[in-house]
Amino acid sequence: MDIIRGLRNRGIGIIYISHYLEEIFEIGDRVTILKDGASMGTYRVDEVTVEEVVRKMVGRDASAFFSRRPVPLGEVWFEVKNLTRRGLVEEVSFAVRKGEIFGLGGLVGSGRSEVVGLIFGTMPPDRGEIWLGGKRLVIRSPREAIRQGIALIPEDRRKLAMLLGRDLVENTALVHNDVFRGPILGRREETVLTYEIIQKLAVAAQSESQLVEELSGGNQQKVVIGRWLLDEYQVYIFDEPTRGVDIGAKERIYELMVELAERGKSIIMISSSMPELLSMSDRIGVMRHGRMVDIVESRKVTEEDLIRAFIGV
Amino acid sequence: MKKNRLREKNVLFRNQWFFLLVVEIGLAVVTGIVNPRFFTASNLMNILEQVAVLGVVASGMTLLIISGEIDISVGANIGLSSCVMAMMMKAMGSSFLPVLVGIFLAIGNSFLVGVTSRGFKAPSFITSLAFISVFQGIALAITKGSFQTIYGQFETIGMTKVARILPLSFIISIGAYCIVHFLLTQTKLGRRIYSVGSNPQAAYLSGISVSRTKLTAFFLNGLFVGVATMVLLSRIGAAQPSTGSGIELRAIGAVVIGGTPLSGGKGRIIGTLFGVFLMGIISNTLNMLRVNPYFQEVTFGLLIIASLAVSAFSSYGRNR
Repeated sequence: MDIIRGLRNRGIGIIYISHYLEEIFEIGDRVTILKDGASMGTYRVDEVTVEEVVRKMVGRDASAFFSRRPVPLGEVWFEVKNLTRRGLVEEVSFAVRKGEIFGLGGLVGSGRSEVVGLIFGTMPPDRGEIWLGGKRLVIRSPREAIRQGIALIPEDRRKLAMLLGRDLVENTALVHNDVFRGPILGRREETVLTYEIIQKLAVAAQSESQLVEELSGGNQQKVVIGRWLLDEYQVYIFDEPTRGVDIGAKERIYELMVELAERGKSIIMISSSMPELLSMSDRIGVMRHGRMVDIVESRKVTEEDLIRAFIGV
Repeated sequence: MKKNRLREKNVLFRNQWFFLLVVEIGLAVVTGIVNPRFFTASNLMNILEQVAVLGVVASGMTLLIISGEIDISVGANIGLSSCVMAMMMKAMGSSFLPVLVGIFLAIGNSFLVGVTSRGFKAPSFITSLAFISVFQGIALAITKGSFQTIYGQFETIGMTKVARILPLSFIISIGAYCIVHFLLTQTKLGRRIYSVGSNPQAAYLSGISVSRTKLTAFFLNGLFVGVATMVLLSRIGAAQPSTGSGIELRAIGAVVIGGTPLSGGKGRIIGTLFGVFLMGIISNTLNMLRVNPYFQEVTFGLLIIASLAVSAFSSYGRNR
């Protein structure tokens, strides 16, 4: 902060981008609020209150929200207790019922993806327990997580999910073949299964032997999700499921999540989109600085409440 | 999907190995016109024999490169393994055990390259580069720099001609291509190799062990190198530390010319097969046309560059 003030005093103009309003009010002269790519106005910092700024950050009209049908919730099935990894995640606990969509909200860097990493076995926790169906799980790798019934659709599909240069069959049947099948491939079976997924999710593709990078973003995401529909899992973790996805594919993906919930699956959804978080989740766990600071019912909370919980004002 | 068939036809023309086949047929025809001796059975069989050893090495190399790794020590590996095989044959008189030991040694050497790469998180290019010196040094030390001759002792593989014309060594190389083809297209291991070559992170998050897959590729690479050493030793009847030196460039060249990118995740063994044949044909052609043998090296280098140009231009349309 002192460095920035020093630069400012030397006549250098500073654009300071942050979610943390207390910082903006501490050193800012003027503030411009952006929402969904448009400016909501520019104000002098001494002429506006924190609440007013927060109010301008939220508020979308009803069409941005997807209306999903409710699903009866079953017993608590997946539970995380006191999950801790030094510097990243601190004493995080939450439970997800059968048929529930549990949203994980928070700013970038709040620890949501790290929690998912701890659950899926990409890093070991320092402390804490993971329970599924009344059984304590020990997960030391993604393969073990998959074997135990946990599926993960990662955040950045190009970097973490898509096999570029390979066709739709290889991309779709990846986990099914590797974890649930023997050493010799069933070429006919995997082609049929892929074809069924393409139909079910309405993937716009010319043929299953097309390369995955030739598809549009939304269709690529459908293929990546389809990978996890070939086998039965109990927990589905979606990390930013509709990032870079067109509106038509978005709705199909939401539909799919509700269908999974109806079949009694427990779903965890990380999302940075307010409308998505509020429309799709039954409950939302708010993370801030690595801790789960609150768990709220999505029906009983407004966008403004959520943002304030994310930022901490 | 009905459109499947339409796609399949286009795919044929886009494949690098198809271009290769056309080029090779063209070359063969031209050479045959200039020097009709090209098309005699003995010359054609000669070509097949010349590239048999290269074919086996290139098959193993194909697996490794698709998995995203590389081993430039295969030449030195052959040098060391062939010397050990020859020395043991001289000492023992028999050949079964020496061959077995030689093959295990070749496997171990390649595996060592892989383990050091994974263990120290170093590129396999670097670790294999280092092991060139190690293998050569050990070979020089145990042979004291001398030739190990075993003339007449181990000729069968190198000299046998099935039905009196088809060289056994060539049949062994066809076996190598077939095994790699089967592995890559019909097995889970083959899929894993493609997956870790294409996107190791995605493979990991899908339950695949990237290290295990790559080390298996190194293991298989070593196995193929061992078999190639056996065939080479049988043909030459002697071994020295520099035996096989330089084959890594030709093997990698054949793989790349065949359309398998060094970045991994893509490629087919049929490409390697045609890449190896092209080298055999070119070498034979240049001999038939009485071109200076040193220019063969220049030709191989230019060929690799030309094939890189072909793959760059064919993906130009797609990726722009």
